[in-house]
Amino acid sequence: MSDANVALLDRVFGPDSSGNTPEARALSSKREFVRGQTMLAEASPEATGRRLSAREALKIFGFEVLRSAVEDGQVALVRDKFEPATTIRNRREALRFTPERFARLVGLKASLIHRAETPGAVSSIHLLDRLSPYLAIDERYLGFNPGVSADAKLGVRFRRLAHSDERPTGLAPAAVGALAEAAWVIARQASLAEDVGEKGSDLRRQFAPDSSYAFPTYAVGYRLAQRARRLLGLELGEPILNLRKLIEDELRIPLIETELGNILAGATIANGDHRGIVVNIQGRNENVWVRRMTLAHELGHLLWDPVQKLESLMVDSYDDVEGVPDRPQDPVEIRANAFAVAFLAPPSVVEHIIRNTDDPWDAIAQISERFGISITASRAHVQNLCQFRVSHSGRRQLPGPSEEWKAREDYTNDFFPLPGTPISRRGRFAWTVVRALEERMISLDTAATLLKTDVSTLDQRKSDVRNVTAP
Amino acid sequence: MALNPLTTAAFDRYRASAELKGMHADAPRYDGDSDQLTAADGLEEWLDGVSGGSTSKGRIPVVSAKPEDVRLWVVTPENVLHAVEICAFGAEREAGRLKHSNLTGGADAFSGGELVFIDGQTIVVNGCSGRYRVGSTAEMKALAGPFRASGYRVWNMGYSTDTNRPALFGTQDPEWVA
Repeated sequence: MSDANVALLDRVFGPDSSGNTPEARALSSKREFVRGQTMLAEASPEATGRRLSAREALKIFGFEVLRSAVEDGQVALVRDKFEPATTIRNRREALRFTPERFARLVGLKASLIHRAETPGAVSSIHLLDRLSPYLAIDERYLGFNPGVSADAKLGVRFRRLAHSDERPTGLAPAAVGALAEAAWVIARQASLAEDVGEKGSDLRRQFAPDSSYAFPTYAVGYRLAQRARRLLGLELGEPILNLRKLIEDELRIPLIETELGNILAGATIANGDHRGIVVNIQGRNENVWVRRMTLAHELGHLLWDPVQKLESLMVDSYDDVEGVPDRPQDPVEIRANAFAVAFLAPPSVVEHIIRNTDDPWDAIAQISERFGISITASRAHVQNLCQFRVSHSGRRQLPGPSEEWKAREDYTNDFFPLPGTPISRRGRFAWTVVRALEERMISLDTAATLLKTDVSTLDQRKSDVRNVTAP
Repeated sequence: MALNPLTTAAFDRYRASAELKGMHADAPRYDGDSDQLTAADGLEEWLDGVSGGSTSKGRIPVVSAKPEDVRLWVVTPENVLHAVEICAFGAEREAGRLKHSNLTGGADAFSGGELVFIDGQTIVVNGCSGRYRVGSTAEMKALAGPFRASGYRVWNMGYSTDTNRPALFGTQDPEWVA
């Protein structure tokens, strides 16, 4: 390498950095950059904007931008004054928020939303960081690369869902915001995982979409459940004790728990190239057995539905997941439901339990307790497998999820050490953030922003976060 | 040098509370970046304007990110100097364009920046100089005021507290200096 190149790398990343390439220099650099809405500069103690590690600044903006930031004192990140206002406004409109409603959703004054959408007006980068996730905007590229900052397909899908007759109609604004944020978490988690060198799951790659929804569709779902259990190495009667862990850690599928109100059970979302599962923690899913059914249902969609069926955003109501007797169901949902129940409670084992139990309600209770599915799901499972109707339970005391079931599925949420971090950002997302921080891929400021906490709290508690969320 | 009572008075007030700075240590250096630009090469002294009484704001001027006719300015202990950045003098030197230190010959100055003339009496000014850096919102305001008081209609690009740097042309709307 020539002396001129060494001198240039020294200037951009500091003389104490090492290596012959910008990437190597960035990783060993102690230098931080700071970004505002429209500009990037070398960080200084007085700068109040978002501090970026050299590595993340290099990844986002490229070497020439960093070079200009250092040599010229600062560099423009926007092509003109119309960004990022245009991206923010277009995205808000696609999600059908009024400025006032969106302001309430993110806890800001409407005037600040108007300002953020006014070309030429400048807002604090922290404000833009705060509102971007709820518009599924990648704040790193906001203003700098509008095409990358917001997935156009997802925006169109949100808009179409709001206007169409598809069920469930009339998504509440809070649910739309939560789904948008979930889409943001999915994409950011995937990007951070890539940064820390995490490879996709080999197990996941063994699942190929299956386009059969042939009648009887439930039988296709059962077959796929059996195949999934075999691929995952599950013994025939083995209960899946921690479905969340299986999805997040073994299949490496981003799983976002969030608040979606009382109608929606879950969703699958694709943001860019990354797809994940969203599960509601409100409504019927407050019961961990019901939530496991929702998770298994969404997993069924994600593992087996062909891409053209999945769409960028596919939402399921509780009625979709649990089935409503008098409503003709979409074969896609019938198959996902059959997959879910057979995945968690294999039919042959359930039949064995029924055969060896005198009272169907005793069998139902046993199935729920053993496999961690709701009483409603167990009852429907028994009725479908045995082709008879189980009468009302009467005054019988039926079991609910034990503390063990709750602890296994809720452990990370309940013991997460940063109270300000939303549920949607706990779990593997938080673990990935802390890993990226420790490997100097991102700055402490970025990590704190991603976890919605402050830098000193995160600095003190990052090892606790890692311990609670470790796979 | 011409007699400039408005400019002299306005910038003397600024100088009284400002600090004379050497070239910033972080500024990259180029061969010839301290060669003194002369009047024959295009160095000009800031002259009093004639729109001193005009308070008409008009439309917000649109300035591109890289205006062709951008001028560099510096406030020295004696003068306010300016020159077109892209010029033959700059092109002949390593940097390929004028640096603020060419206006001072490498000497100390209070501050430097860029400006664009919208018309003969209206300017948009920023505080972007790697060598004589403007360091705060207050300092940027303290500089825009004397330009206004020197008899021009002035728009100030402002200062980003997020990056702790003066705002660049083309990135945001300038503010009217009343």
